[in-house]
Amino acid sequence: MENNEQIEKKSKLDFSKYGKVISFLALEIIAIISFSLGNSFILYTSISAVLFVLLLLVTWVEIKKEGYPTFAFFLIPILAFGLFCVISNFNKDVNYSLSGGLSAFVPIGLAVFPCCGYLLAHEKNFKISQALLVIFVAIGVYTFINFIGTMIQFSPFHTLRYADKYLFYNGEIVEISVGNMAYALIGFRFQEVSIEYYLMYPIILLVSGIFLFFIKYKDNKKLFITYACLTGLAFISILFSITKFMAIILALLIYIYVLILLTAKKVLDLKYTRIIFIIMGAITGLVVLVFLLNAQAIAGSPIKFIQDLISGNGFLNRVFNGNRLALNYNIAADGLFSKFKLNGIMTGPIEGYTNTYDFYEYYHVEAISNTNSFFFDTILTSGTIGLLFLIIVVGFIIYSIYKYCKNSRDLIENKAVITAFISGFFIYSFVAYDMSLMIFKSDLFPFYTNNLFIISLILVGYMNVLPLTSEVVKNEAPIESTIMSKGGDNDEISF
Amino acid sequence: MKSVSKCLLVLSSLLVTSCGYRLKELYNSNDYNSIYYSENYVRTKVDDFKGASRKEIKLDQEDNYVFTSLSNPHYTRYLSDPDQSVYKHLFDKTISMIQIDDSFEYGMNSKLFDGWWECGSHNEKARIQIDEDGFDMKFEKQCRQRPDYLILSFQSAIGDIRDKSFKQYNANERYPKENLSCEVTLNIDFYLLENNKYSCISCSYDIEERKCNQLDFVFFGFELGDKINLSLCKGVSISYKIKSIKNGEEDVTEKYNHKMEDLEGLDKNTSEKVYGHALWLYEFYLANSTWH
Repeated sequence: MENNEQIEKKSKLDFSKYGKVISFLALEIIAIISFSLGNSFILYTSISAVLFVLLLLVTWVEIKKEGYPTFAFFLIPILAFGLFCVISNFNKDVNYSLSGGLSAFVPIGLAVFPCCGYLLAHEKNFKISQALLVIFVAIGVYTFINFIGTMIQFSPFHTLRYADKYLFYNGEIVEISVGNMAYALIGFRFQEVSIEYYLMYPIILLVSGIFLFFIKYKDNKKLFITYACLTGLAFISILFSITKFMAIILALLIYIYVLILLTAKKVLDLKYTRIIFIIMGAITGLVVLVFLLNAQAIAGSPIKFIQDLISGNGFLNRVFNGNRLALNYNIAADGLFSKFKLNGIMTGPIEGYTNTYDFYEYYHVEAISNTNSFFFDTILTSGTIGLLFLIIVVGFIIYSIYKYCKNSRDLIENKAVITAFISGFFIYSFVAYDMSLMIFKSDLFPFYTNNLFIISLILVGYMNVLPLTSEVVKNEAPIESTIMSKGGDNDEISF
Repeated sequence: MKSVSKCLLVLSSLLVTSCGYRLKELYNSNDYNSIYYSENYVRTKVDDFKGASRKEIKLDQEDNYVFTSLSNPHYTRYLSDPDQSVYKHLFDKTISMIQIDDSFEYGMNSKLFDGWWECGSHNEKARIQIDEDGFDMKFEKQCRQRPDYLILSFQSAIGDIRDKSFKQYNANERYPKENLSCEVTLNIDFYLLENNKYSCISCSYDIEERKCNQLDFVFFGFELGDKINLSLCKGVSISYKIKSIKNGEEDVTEKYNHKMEDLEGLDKNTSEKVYGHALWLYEFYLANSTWH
C-alpha cells in the first residue's frame, strides 16, 4: 500500500510549492488583461500560447476528474465558436484587427482562458477576493487614464454640449459628431473612440460598488476607500460623458446591479429575483426571435404574417424597423440561412483584389461594419453556425452562474460581484458593443477580442469548480480578516 | 473638513484638465459644403500674423524654377525617377502633407493636405474656396528642415454669390454658361516664428490665363531650398489679385468680379445672377519638410 502511494506521488507533477507563484502570476495576467493592454495582440498571442502549453500539462494531471467532464463539455461549443470565427469570411476582411495568421489564436484563447479560471479555482493560494480587487483596480486605472484624456481633448459634458458639432479629419467632415466621441488608450496609443466603447469600462466598474455594502469602513478603511474611489471614478466618468441613449442603458444596468445587491443582502428573496431574471430573459429571447424573423426579406407565410403585424402597428414598427439600431439588426439578420450568412461576411474588399464587382457579388459584402450588438455582430463575424454555438456558450454561462450562486461556498459578496460583472458585460454588449471603436480608423474589434469578455471567461472557468469534495473547496475567509491577521506570510498578496 | 477639502482638491485638479483641446475647431455637418456658392468662402484670419515684418519676393520663372503645369520641365526636375509618370507621382495619395506628419490630419485645412490633387467628383468636399482677400493657416507644428519645393493645385471659379435671402437662386445654374478665363497674381505668404516673433516671406507670381470652372487645374510650384528658406515656418496665407476676366477676347472683369457688398440694396426677388470670383484650392505640399 505504501509503495503504491509512493509510486502515485512520483508519477504526479507536484505544483504545491509553486502555488503562490502561480497565483501571483495569474493575478498579474488578470491585471494586464483588465487594463486592456491586451489590445496589443502580440501580448495576447504570446500569453495564450504559453498558457496553452502549461495547461495541457497541469490541468490534465492535477484536476480532480469528477468535475472535469462537465467543464470539458463547455469547452466544445466555445472551441467550435472560436473555429467558426477563424474560418469565417470575415477573417479575410482587411479591417478585421486579427485578420490573417493572428486569428488562429482566437479558438486557443477562448478555450485557454476558461481553463485558467478552472485551474486557479483548484489552487489553494488563489483568493477570488484578491482577483476581483486586481480586476477592478486595473479597470479603474484604465478608466482614469481614458477619463483624463477625454477631459483634456473634449471637456466635461461635451456629449451634451456638442452633440451636433463635427470635426474635420483627413480632408473630410467626420460623420460622427463630437458628442459621440471620447479619447481612450488603445494598445500603446491614444485614439479617438466611440462613446459606447469609452463608457463600457466605467459602467462595468460600477459593479465594484457592491463591495461597499459588505465591507465595514471601521474594519478595513483602505479597502473601503479603494472601492469607494473606484465607484466614484466610475460615476464621474459616466456623468461627464453621458448621452441620452447611454443614460437608458445605464438605468437598465443599475437596476440589474441593485437587484443582485438586494438579493445578496437578503432584502429580496432569491426566488423572486430568479423570476425577474427569467421574465427578462424570456422577453429578450422573444424580442430577438422576432427581430430575426422580421428581418427576412424573402419569407414564407407565417413569417410574412408577423412582418405585416409589425409594420401595421405604429409602436412595433418603430421598435423593429424605425430606428438606427433596428436598421442595422435587420441588415445583419436578413438571409440568415443563405449561403452568404452561414459563414460570415466582409465589410470591404480583400487587399489586392482587383475585380471589385465579382468580389462584392460573390462574397455579398454588407453595407454595415457593425450593429452595436455582440449578438447580431456575430452573424457578420462568425456566420449563422457560429451564432448557434455562441448561443450555447451564453446558455452555459447563465447555467454556470445559477449553479455557482446556488452551490458555491464563496462569500456572498464575491458571488454578487461576479454575477453582476458577467451579466453587466453581456447586457451592455447586447445593446451597445461597438466593434468599430476607433473613429478615424476602420479597424474592427469583435467582442470576442475584448478584454472584459476574456475576464468573464476566466470567471466562468472559476465558477465551474463547485464543492464536490472537501478538497476542492477553499472556505475563503472574508478579505478583511485575511488582511487584518497578524504575522501574515510575506508571499501573500496583502493590501 | 479635511476630507471635504481633499475631495475639492481632487475635483479641481480634474477640472483643470478640461482643456477641450479638440474643440477649438468645430463645424456644423454641412459647413463649406453648401449649394449656395457664397457660403463656401473660407475667410479665416490668424491674428498672430498681423504686424509681421515682410520680405517681398517676385518669383522669376527661370531663377525660381516656377512651373504652372506638370508637363513643365521645371516640375519634372523634382522627380527622383526620370521615367516616373508625373501623374503617378502626385495622384496615388502618397504625396501629401498628412504622409509627412500626422499633425496635418486635423482641421478643415486638412482638405489641402489629404492627397486629393484634383476635384475627383468630390466638389466642395475636396477644396477650399477663397476670395481675393484669401485665408490664413496656422500649423500645429513648426517646420524644422527647410522644404525643397512647393506645389499648390487650384483652379479658377466664378459663381452666383447671391445668398439664401434671394428667392430666385437656382443651385443648378449657379455657374455661368460662358467659357470664361482669367489671369490672376497669386500671393503666398510664409510666416516664420522665431523668438516668439513672426516674420513673413511673401512670394507672388502672375499665373497665365486659365479657364474658369472647366477643370483647368493649375499645378503651381517653385523651388524653395536655400533661396527661400522655410525652416521655422509656422503658417501660410494664400490670396490673389485678379488681373482680368475674359469671355473670348472681351474683357468682362467688372461683370464677373462682384463682391458681397454689391448685394446690398438688390431686389430679393431678382432672378439676375450676381457673379463673383474664387480660387478653389485643392492641395498644398511642401516637399521634404520635417515638422516638430
